[in-house]
Amino acid sequence: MDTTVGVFLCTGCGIDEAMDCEALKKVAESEYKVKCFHSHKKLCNPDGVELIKKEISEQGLNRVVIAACSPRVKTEVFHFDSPEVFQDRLGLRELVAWTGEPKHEDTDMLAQDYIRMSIVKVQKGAPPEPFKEEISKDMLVVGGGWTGMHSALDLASAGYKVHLVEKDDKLGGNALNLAKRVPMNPPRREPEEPDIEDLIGKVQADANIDVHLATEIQRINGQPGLLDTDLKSGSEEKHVRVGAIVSAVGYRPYDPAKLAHLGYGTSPDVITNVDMEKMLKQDSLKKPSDNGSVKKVVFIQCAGSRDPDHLPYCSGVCCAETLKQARMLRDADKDIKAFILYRDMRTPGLLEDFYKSAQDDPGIFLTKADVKEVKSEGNNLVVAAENTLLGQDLELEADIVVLATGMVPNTLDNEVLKLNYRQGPDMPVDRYGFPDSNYVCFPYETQRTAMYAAGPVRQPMDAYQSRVDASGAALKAIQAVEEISRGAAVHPRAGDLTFPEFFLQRCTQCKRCTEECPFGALNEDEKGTPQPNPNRCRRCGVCMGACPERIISFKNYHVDQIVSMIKAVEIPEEDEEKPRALCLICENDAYPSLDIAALNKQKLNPYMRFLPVRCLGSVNVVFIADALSAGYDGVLLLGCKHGDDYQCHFIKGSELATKRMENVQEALQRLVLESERVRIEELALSEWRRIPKIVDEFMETLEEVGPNPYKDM
Amino acid sequence: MTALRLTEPDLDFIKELQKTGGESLKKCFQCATCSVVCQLSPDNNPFPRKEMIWAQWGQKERLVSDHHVWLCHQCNDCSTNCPRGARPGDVLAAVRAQSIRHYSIPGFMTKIVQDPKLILVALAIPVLYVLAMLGVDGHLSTLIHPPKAEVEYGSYFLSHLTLNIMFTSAFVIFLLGGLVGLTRFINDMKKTDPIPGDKDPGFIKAVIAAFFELLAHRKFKKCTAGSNRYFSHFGLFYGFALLFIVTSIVVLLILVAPDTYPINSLSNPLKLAGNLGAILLIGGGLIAIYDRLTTPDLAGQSSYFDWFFLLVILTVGITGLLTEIARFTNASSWAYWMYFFHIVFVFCLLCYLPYSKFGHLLYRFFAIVHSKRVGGYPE
Repeated sequence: MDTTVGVFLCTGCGIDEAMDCEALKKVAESEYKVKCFHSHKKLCNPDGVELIKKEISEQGLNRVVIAACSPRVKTEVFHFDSPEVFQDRLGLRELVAWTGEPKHEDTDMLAQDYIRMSIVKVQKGAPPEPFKEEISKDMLVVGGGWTGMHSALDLASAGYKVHLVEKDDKLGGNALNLAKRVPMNPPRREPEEPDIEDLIGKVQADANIDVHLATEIQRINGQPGLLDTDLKSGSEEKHVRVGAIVSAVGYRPYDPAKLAHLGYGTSPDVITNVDMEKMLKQDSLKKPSDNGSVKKVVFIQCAGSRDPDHLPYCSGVCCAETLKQARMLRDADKDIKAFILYRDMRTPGLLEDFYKSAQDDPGIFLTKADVKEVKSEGNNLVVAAENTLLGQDLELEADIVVLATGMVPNTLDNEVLKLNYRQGPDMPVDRYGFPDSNYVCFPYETQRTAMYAAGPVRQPMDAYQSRVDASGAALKAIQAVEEISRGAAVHPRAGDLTFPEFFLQRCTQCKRCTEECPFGALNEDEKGTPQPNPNRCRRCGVCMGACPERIISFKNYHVDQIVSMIKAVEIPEEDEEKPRALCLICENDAYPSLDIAALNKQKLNPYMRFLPVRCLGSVNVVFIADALSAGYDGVLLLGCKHGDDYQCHFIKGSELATKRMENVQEALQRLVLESERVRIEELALSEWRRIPKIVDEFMETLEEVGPNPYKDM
Repeated sequence: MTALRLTEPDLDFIKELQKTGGESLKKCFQCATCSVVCQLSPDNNPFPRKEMIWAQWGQKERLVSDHHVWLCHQCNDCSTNCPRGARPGDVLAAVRAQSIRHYSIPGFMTKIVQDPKLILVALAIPVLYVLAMLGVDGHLSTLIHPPKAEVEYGSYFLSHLTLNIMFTSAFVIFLLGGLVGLTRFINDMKKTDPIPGDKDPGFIKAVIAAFFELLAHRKFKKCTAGSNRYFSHFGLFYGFALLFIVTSIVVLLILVAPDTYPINSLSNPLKLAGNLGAILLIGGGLIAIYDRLTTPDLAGQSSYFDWFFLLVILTVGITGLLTEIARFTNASSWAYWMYFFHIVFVFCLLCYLPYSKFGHLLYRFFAIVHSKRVGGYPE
């Protein structure tokens, strides 16, 4: 298809003062023969916007370069809702005007190179044609406990049909075992009666919710919007098609058998908080060993929690549960004394009031303590503790010792969703077994599109937080099916209408794309040929970066386009002593950080050309090889942090980029070039002050290494 | 260190503390802000954080014999800085009351003095006793038919002989009860926090140091929140001391030279000293009451224990002054009644000393002495 390019240059916000705008016009018109070139003093004013619109229709433009401010600002103003037009927002203001030496030769060269890159970008790219299919917007909620039921009700009340799958033969989950619950309502001072039965009644009465009891998932095939789910209940098999999934499969208490060091197993009178809840629920307070009366109860907090040998994390609920049980014991019998040995009393938020109410009870005794041992002495138990607040080591006699155990996600070692995904049957989990996502920035996400974890399976939480989490997951699921129904991506490229296309005739079945896709979007046939599932895709381009045959492309983002942009930059001859370097900069955090640096008028080295990429994971080795063959002195990759606390928006893009640097080194050897010419740096959004330093240091290194010998070829 | 098997938490003790001014004690969550802000707390073993958790855990034995609670002058720097509203200053005050109650004998006397329900009994004892003294002198009728003659308490009302014998003996008997309690307290302090052999300055030196410290009232000056307490306590202390000394001299004077009494000149040095004492006492008392009523957060939550002592000592001062005025103005119609009340309240003050808040005179003094001997006392 022919491209008809129009360039619109804004000269406001200091652009005019910083560079030779006439020269930019010359570049566009003489080098690229663009259909039209317009300068405007304030392009974002209504008459500027009108000018663009008029020229699109009158000149028949289908490619538009808006050379003005960063693409991250004024997005509404420069949004032209036309499926035929592909536009690029070139941030001359930030990339040149605010960061360059005004009216300097190098600044002009920089601006002109950016105009070249931008024109090539729109010439090579095309507007997206979304992948659309008739989809199901029905929802699958897995787990009929407190969280799952709330999520199902939220979805149903928003008008979505819900399939609620519960493996037990009744709804309710762990909440059924509660004698009372930690208060959720003001003034949060007394344990509350659980209302799980009401909730079950509401779910069962809702016409939009199909409850599948005693049912397990056999297999889920397909992709979001088209998730074909096989359910099995006894011998009965059912099939449903859903659009999105909320996984609320909950938690189980930590296995107390592993807590022998806290006396579990030494006496039947050492029990867990779950056992204590049962006793309270059944109103049968007796010593398990001899049915004797209970007058002294010692609670040991953090039993197997915040302990590197057990659960390294805090479950955040055991403190409040223990306070509740202590209150209930005291309410049942005023002669009972409850001792609570904690490491830190953690009652976040408004539960502090509940903590206070328990503290106020004269029969509840609290101290920080490290429990040394729990031993039997005759009929009684004795808990020995040190480092207490009483200034002395303690030995407490007890009729019952309660171990406050934490939460283990049911996803730790269970197959829950049984997805027919090449990368495995479940949402990938973190080191503790919780479904993982970018937990630093996007804790509500998972690595499987349109599938959201809610409640204690996502991270340890109480019922109050789970209630909120249930709604959150429901909203995310709704968002997912609605975006997918119009062919758009969900987080973090929400609304992106592109999707990767595979030119499979040239595929060598190397499986890099199917293995490396962070979202498991690609299945494989027996030979290893990728089978794309556009609705699973987040459009990060990791597959494009992985593919050695370069057969994966997006309409508006592909290998040829980027290589052409790289080559569009003019490389001065060696004797001009003007080095050139390329920075492939991640759009998610590093590029916004660059914008902030510009806003703070940080000066940037004028020999560096920044080229935004969707993710460092989408950087194909060929970008670097071609840049170096074209005469760039070096290539810098600037992306998000990787590792345990990764900040990559696509989970492992920057990690993959780092790994691929090995291939880059091979390419450098082939070209007989120094390894210092390519560097990868990681940057957090807030670290904009580092950018000028990173660039300067890199340019200094390049100066030491010397000019690229390919320059003059 | 071998683990101590904890004393069974004494729930009744906790409730008793809560009833007598320490109702906030359970609110403490052991952040130790109190110990940090306290100017009087020893650095090596600070209070009141540890006392707060002992109180929460009902550790009566530890608390009643704890000399640190007596180092507190209840300025409430801790209470005003407490993030939890646990008011450690008030809790320590309640602990001190419990300590007096625990040690002073006979036990029923502390009950009578400290229980608001028994206030009529507490007042009836001195009333009856003074009436008995009047009966001995045969001057009961003076109250109903005051003689028209010039007001003369010794001749028409209580004779000095009766006063010297009956009042003094009552005082001494009660004081003995207090001293027995004090001895038990001192012994328990030694048990719970033994005096180390090496740094102990010795009993005598410690007593002398504590005495001069008391005279200087230095500790009160360190307070920020309840800074008025310095003035009120200064007035009450020196007012009482002056009056006590003047009264003792006069009692001796009557024994050796009966003719010099009554003193009819206001410029007599004894009269001057007595009147100065009365003014200091009444002034200090009024400041204390004003502070307790207007700024209870700073001055402390006042319990019956506090009010009883404060009102008694103030009434002693006021009735004493009025008795003197009645004599000089010859107001025979009410002079004898005023004197009657004066004696009744002096009885409440002196004879109830070991059981009322006045007991702190003994307990605090010897707690400070002990603290100085243990070491770490903030000088």
